Amino acid sequence: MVEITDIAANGLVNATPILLAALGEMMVERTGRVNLGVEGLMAVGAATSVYAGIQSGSPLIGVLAASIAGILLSLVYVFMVLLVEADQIVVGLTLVFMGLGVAELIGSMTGGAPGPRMPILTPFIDPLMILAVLTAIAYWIILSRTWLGVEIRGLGESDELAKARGLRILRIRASSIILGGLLAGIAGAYMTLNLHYGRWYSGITAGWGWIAIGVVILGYWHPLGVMLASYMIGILFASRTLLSSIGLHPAIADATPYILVIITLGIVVKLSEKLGISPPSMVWRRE
Amino acid sequence: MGGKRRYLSIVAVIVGPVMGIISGLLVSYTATGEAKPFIETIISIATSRAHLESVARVMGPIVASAVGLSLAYRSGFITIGSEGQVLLGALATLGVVSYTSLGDMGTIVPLTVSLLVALLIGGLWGLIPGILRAYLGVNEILSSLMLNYVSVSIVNYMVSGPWRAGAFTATRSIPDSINVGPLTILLILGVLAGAYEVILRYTRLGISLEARGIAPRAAYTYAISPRKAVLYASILAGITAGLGGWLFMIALQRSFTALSQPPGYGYMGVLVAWLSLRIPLATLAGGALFSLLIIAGFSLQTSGIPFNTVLLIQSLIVLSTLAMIALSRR
Repeated sequence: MVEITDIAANGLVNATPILLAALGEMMVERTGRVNLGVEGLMAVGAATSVYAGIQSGSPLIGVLAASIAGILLSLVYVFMVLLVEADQIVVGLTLVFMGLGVAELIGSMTGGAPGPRMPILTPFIDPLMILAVLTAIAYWIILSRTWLGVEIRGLGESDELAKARGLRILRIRASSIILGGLLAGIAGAYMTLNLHYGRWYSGITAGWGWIAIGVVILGYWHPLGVMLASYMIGILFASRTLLSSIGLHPAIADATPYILVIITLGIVVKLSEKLGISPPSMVWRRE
Repeated sequence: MGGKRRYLSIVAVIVGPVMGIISGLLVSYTATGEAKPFIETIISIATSRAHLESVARVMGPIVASAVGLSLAYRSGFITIGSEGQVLLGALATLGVVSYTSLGDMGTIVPLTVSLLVALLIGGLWGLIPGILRAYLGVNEILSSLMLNYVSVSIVNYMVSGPWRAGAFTATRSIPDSINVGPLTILLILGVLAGAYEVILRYTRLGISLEARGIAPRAAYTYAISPRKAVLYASILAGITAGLGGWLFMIALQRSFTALSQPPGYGYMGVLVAWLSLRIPLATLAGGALFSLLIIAGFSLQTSGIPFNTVLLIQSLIVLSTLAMIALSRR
């Protein structure tokens, strides 16, 4: 069937923003913090990329501006959580709404005009897709083969341990959070400049930032796991059209990926508990 | 704990509105190049009876969600599913009032029955993340968020499918005879917040829930199993959001059209719960502030300021309060 290959290829396109954002969140969680603000970071990236893209006429400038916007918003998290030491969960939640608000302000300046489309290499491969995969591999190498990786893993293990070993807690955490913001910003840019034909509209991120946080768990905090999980979720979103073409109501087809994410989360969490594996990120451990 | 909380509430009462004004001026200036629209709007709302009544209507779903969320958060159950519970509570209300024969039986019968159904639906929908957490260990933040999008889909399905009325994708409306006034809404919210305050302070359940939030293991030894605590907290939060949905439909929305994104009242309940330091009674004040900003946001649209920038103002208020709390703990 032609449709199956279409879905496989579309799944790749849908998976890319989720993978970018999830990799960023994985980096944050590996250092022992969780940033729930991904959805807001993505929204800001999405709006900024269109605005900067229109102003400059270049999709590259759009993506760069989106990554800077993501960094700036993640600095709020760095300030609030690492310096002021406010509750990371609440700050993350608030960051979502802040991001959506800022995105609206920037997005309204685009006046609904389309920004430049992202260039593609072949029909279903584009530069950011490659960037996402390379980031995953690079992080995997850093984590498993370098001294920095050892430090990161120590940070994710426990605060006491990190302090006792004299690890560079603040520097590594802050840079991971900023990298997370950068990647989420690019993920947002991908959603507008690629998935939505260069247009920004209110509510464009549609919970994909949250899905990225779920994907980190599904991929079990491993770069390759996260890649695999992102692709699975990408396929789910790509098959919505197939579901409605075989007679499922479009509104219900829209809901299926979210329902399946919940179910898979249940399976993965229960399974890992049965196997006695403890997440490498302390924030998700249960008492 | 009590004294500190009181001190913090005083700080929050000052910081919130001040931050609201500063960030409102900032947004107004960024979007239009002048601060005047924001100032004029706030004054016109504060001096107009019609505007203040709208503030009370908007407070309905926000405060109702925030009251239940305060309880859930104090027990350590961090749900953000109030958005979906408000939507489904509203959908249930619409169903009872406009799609059954109950709608023709005066005002008291349809109002009471729809309220009970909304509470039930809200509670059940809220229970799902509770069950997932209690039995499978799925994080409630993620599962409840996903369910919000499922709720949007359910509304869209009913709007474009079974409940579609007329040429457009819209449902029937709540009949004009069925309504609740602004004062009734405030009364309901006051009673609700008071009731939850009593549950938290004076009942065995409430005290064990709070203990669980502070020290899970300790709570287990003398009061209530963690599993039960999660289930209770999820239902108690779901019920109030269901009530919020009822108020949302009866006093605000009146009918449904297709949703492109969640309307956000339940999410604002999340912010208000944290802003109000998870004190049920305080959500009345926090909710009033947020609702005022929402009405201001509606008015400011005419000055070319997009509505969702209200979210930016609101989150700045919450962030500054959070910073205050964290700094005063040192």
